[in-house]
Amino acid sequence: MKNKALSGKKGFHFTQRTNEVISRTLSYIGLIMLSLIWIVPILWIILSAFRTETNVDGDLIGIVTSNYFPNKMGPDNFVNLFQGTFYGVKNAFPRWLLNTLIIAVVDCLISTFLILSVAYCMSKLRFKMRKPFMNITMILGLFPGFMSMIAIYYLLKSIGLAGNTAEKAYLNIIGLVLAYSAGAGMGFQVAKGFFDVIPSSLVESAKLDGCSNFKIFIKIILPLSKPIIIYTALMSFTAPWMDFIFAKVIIGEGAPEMWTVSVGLYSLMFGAQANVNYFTQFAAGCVCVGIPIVGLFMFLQKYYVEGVTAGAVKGQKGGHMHKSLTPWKNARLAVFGIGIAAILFVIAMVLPFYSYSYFFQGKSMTFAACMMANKQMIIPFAMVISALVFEIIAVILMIFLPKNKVAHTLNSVFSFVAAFLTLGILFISVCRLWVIPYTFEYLAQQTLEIGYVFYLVFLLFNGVLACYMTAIGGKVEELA
Amino acid sequence: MSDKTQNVVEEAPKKDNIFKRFFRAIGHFFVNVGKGIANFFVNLYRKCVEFFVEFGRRFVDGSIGTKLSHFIFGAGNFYHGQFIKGTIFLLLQVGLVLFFVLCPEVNGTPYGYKALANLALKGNPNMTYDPVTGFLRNPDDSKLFLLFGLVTIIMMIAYILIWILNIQSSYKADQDLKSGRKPTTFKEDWNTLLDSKFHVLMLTPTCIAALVFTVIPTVFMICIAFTTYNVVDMNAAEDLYNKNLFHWNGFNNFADIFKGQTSLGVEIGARFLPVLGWTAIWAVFATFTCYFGGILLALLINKKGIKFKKVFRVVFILTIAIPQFISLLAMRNLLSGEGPVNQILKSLNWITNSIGFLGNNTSGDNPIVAKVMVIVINMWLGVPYTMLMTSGILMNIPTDLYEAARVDGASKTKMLFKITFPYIIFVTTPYLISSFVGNINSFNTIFLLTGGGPSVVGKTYVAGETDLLVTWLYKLTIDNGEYNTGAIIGIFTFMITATITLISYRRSKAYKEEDTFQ
Repeated sequence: MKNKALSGKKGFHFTQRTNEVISRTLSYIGLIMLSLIWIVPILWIILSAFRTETNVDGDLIGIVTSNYFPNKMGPDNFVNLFQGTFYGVKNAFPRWLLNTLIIAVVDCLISTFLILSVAYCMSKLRFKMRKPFMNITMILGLFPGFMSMIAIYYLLKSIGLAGNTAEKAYLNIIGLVLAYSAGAGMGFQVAKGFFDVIPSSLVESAKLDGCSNFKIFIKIILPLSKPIIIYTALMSFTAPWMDFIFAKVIIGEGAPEMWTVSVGLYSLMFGAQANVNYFTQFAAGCVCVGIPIVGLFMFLQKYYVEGVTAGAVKGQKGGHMHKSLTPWKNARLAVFGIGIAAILFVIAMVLPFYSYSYFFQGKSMTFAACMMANKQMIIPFAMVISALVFEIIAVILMIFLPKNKVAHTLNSVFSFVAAFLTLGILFISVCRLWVIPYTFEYLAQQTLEIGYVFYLVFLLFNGVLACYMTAIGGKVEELA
Repeated sequence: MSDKTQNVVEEAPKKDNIFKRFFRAIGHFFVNVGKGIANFFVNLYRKCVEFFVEFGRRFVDGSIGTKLSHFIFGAGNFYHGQFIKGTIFLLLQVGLVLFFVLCPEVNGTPYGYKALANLALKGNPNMTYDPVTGFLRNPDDSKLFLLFGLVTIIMMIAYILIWILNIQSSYKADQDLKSGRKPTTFKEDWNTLLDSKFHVLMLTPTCIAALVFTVIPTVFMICIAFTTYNVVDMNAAEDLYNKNLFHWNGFNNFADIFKGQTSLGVEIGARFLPVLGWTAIWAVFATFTCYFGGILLALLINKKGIKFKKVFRVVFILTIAIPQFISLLAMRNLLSGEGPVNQILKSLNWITNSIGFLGNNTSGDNPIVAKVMVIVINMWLGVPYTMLMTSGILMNIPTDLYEAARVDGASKTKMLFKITFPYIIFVTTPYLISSFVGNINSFNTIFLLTGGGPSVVGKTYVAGETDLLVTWLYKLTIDNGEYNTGAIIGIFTFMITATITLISYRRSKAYKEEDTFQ
C-alpha cells in the first residue's frame, strides 16, 4: 500500500502545471515577506527623517515610539540639520559633508592607483620577492587594527598631522587621508583575482612586440579592466563615509569642524553633547548620506558584483571584456552626471555664501539671497542655468534622435557650449579668490564659505561632465 | 553501451571523517611551521655566508670608485660618470647621517642615536634643564620613546639597504666596463625601471606606506604587550610626571593573565575563555547562516518564472549599500527598550515589560536573546552579499550537468544537493575562509548593535556577554586605557586568525594552483 501511495498511482495528485504554479506562488510570498523584513528598518529611518511631531513645549520629539508611521511630516529636520550649530560649529553638517567629500575623493584617487599597481605586479609580473610579499601582506592584514591605530595616531601627531585643534585642525584631514590610503596597496587581492583572468597570452605577445611592462600596464591591462577600476574606486570612495572609529581617533574630539559625516552623526546620538531629541535630525543626516551612496551602488551594481566575484571566486569569467559603451549607456551616464550637478547646484544655492558679505555688511546670506540683492550676479547665474539647459538638450538629443551624424554633431556642439560656459565661470570664480583678498582668510580661518566651495565643486564637476559629453559626441561620429 | 557510460558515476576516493582531517591538518601545519622555521635559519646562515663572501669580493675586485663607495655613498657612480645617481645616493647618505647624529626632536622626544638609547624605556620623570636652548624640558614620554626608537631602527635598516645598493650599482658599472660596455646612463636606468624592474617602481610607494602605517604600528603593538603601559598603573604613580612613563615588564603580563594575580588579571582570566568561546560560536554561526541563507535567497530569486528579479535584487542590496553605522543604529533604536517594536508588542498586550533584544536595558537582560538577535541581524546584513555572489555563479554552472542528471531521472531536490550546492561550495571556498576570519574580527556589528551588552554584573573591565575579542580589545584600550592587556588580546586574536587562515589557504586549491587559470 505504502509503495503505491508513494508512486502516485492512487489518490489525489497535482498535475505538473499546478505544482509549478503553487511553488511559484510560495516563492513570491517568501520573497515579498523577506523584502518587507529588509525594508522595514530602512523605511523607519526615512520616515523618522520627515517626522515633525512636537512635544508639549513645541520642540521636535526625537525617537517617536508609539507609532511606526508619523502623524505629522515636513522638511523641518533637514532645515534644522543644515542650519543648526552642533558642537559649537556653525553649519556643522554641510561642513562635515564637505570634509568627507574631500577625503573620499583624494583617498579614492590614491588608493585606486596603489591597489591597481600592486595587483598588476602580483598578477602579471614574476620576480623574486613576489610570494614572500603576498604572504607578508596576508599576515599583516590579520592583526587587529585598533592597537596599530594608536601608534598611527602618535606617528601622525609627531609630524603634526593629527590631534591638532583650532587653526591647524585642517591638517588632521591630511593625516586621515594618509592613514586611509597608505594601507590601501595591501588590499590588492580582489584586483589581482581580476587581473589573473586576463589571458597572459595578451601580455606575452605585447612583450614580443617590444612593449615595456609600463606600456603593457597602461595600454593593455588598464583599458581591459574598467570593471575592477570602478569597483576599487567605488570601495575606496565609500569607505570614508562608512568608517567612524578611525576618523574619530585621528581627527579627535578637539576639532569638531573637521569631523567626517559619520563621526558627526554618531556624536549627535552618542557623543559628549548627544541628545535624544536629535534623533530625527540624525535620521535626516543618514538619508542625506545614504541616498548618494545607495545611488552610486545601484548605478554601478554590475561592476560591484563583478568585483565581488573576482575577489572571492577562482576562475570565474565575468564576461567583461571588449564591451564598448552603447549610446544609451552614455546617455544614462550623462543623465546621472547632470543629476549630481543639479544637486550640487541646489546645495550651493541654499547654503551660506559669505564671500560677498563685505558688500552686505558682513551679513550671512545664501547664494540666492545675494542674487536678489546684487543685480550684477544675475549674469553668471544666467550663464550657469543656460549651461545646464544646453546639457539637458544634448542628452535629450542623444536619447531621442536617430543615431546619425547630424544628431551627434548637434550633441557635440551643445555640450561644447555648455562646457565653455561652465569653465568660463569657473575661471572667473577662481580668479575672484585672488581679487577679493578676504576670501582666502575666511577659508583659512574656517569661517564658513560652504556655499561658495560647493559652487566651485559644482562648476568643476559640470565642466568635466560637459567636456566628457562633447567627447562622446565626437567619438560616436567617428564610429559612424 | 551508451547507457552504461552514462550511469557510471565516479566513486570519490573514500575520505576520513572531517574531524580526523581537521586534526591531521593542524598536525601538518605545526610540522610545517617547524620545518619552515628550521629551513629559514639554515637558509639565513647560508645567505649570510654568501653575502659576506660576495661583499669581500666586491671590495677586493672593485675599482677605486667601488672601494670608496663603501664609505661615501655614490662615490663609485661619480667615478663612472653617473652623476645623477651618485648625487641621489650622496644626498640620502648625508640626510640619514644627519638624522642619526643631530637627533631632531618632536614633542620634546629625540630621534636618532638618542632614540636608540631611549628604547630602554628609562625615562626621566622630572623637568630637566636643556643646556642648548636654555629652556626647561618637559618630562619624558615613554610611548614616544618606543615609537621613535622603532622608527630609528627602520631608518638604520634603510641606511644599510641603500649602502648595499650603492655598492652593487658601482660594482655593476665596473663589470660593464670590463666586458666592454659603457656604464648605464640615468635615462637607461629609468627605462629599466619602467620595464624589467617595473615591480620595483610600482611596489616602492606601497612598501614605504605599509612600513610606516602597518609594520611599525604592529611591532609597536607587540612591544606594548611586554610593558607596563596601562593608564591605571601610570596614574597611580605619586609623581605627577611619572604618568607618562612605563617600563619593560617581560612576560609578567602574560603570567598575570593566566595566574590571575592582580585584580585585573583575575577578571581578565575569568572572562577570557568565555569571550573566546563566544567569538568562535559567533564566527561559525555568522559565517554559515549568511552563506547558506545567501545561496537559498539566490536560488529563490533566480528561480525560473519569477518576475521582477531586478527589483528584488535591488531591495536586498540596500543593506550593503547603506553605511553600516546607519543601518545598525537604526536597528538598535528600533529594538531598544523604548523602541517601536517593544511598544507595539506592549500595545498588543503580548508583553508587559520591554524585552532587552540587544541587551541595552539596565535590568539584567537575557544574554541568549541578545546573542541570537545579533546573529539574526547579521544575517540581515550579510545574506545579500552571498546572494549577489552566488547569483553570478549560478548562471555559470555548466548546463550539461543538469541535462545529464535529468536524463538519469534525478529529481529537482536531488539535483540541488548533488550538483548546485557542491558546485557553489567548491567555487566559493576561498570566500568562505575569508568571511570566517572577517567575522572573528567583525567589530561594527557588535559595537554598534549591543556595545557588548548585556554586561556581566559586578565586573568593570571585562567584556559583556556579546563582546568579541576585538570589541573587548577596543574597550580595554580606548575606554579603559589598558594598553598592555589589550595588546595581549590582540596577539591572541592574531594567533587564532593566522592559524586558521594559513591552514586553510595553504591547503586550498586556489593557493596551490595559483597559476593554472592564466
